[in-house]
Amino acid sequence: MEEPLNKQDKLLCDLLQESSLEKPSLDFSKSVMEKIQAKRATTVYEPLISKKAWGWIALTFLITSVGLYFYPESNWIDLDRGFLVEKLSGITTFLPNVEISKTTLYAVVFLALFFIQIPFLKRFIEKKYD
Amino acid sequence: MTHETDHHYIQETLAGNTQAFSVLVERYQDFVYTIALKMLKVREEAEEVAQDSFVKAYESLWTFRGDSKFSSWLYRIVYRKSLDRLRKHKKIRTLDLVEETTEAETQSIENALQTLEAMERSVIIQKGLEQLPEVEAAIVGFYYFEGLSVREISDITELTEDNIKIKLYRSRKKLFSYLKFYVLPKYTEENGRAT
Repeated sequence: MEEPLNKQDKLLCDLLQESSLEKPSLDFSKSVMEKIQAKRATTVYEPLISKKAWGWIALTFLITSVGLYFYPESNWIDLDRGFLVEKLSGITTFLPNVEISKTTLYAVVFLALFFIQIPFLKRFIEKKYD
Repeated sequence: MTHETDHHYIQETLAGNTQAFSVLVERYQDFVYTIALKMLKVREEAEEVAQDSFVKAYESLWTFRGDSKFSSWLYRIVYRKSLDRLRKHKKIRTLDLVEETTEAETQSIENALQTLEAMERSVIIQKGLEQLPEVEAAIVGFYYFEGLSVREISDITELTEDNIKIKLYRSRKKLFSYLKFYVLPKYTEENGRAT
């Protein structure tokens, strides 16, 4: 059993070593390099939000917050009457009362959601290209 | 220029010299293409998959840690890409059972093959390899063409070493069954005697 197997093994080894490897087309290497160059040209990695855009977002948020503070609208969430007051009573005794409009609150919530989804999106994209 | 090690060209490529990668492409293109062809059996598809494998290797080059050979790492990419392509077309076959070739038959096959021209022998063996299912064809290629060890093939294919040995054993059986069928009748006819 062992003998013919070794013999077969050796014979196959000789036969396959003798037969040369297959050759791809002549411009194979050129085509690969062209594909790589094309990919390099298209995938210039930039942050999702540029520094300039971050600046604008921060500025808009600041202006809106300040604007809403000085020119309040009719809808208010009064923290004095809220659930948070009980929790934060220790802190609020040292601080002046802060009143936040609903609009600002929504803006903060959506901004937080936006930050939370970034790691999920990043993982999803990495998986896609893995 | 081309006598430097793979590591040298990998570092050059990572440093931004894209052209350094072309040396690695030229160095391994024949074997990568051969494996893709052995698995996919169609030249156009094999060429496409081989090219995509090199592009993928270029893109993931920064993940190559250098604890294995670059060639093994590259072969893993082409093996997986070829499997993906086969799965897409649902073309993965398995090896059917074949009867054992005896020692006397093996000797006759060897004698018969020696009477043939090298070119003719090469054609016959290539046709024999075409009979093998995709995964087995790749394993035979890694083992006999590239001389990789069972352990190295196990790393590339993510199959166990025992599984590789079984697949190699069955592939040998299949190849010899093919050779027995195609080479021996011709040989016995020419010599006017039965084996």
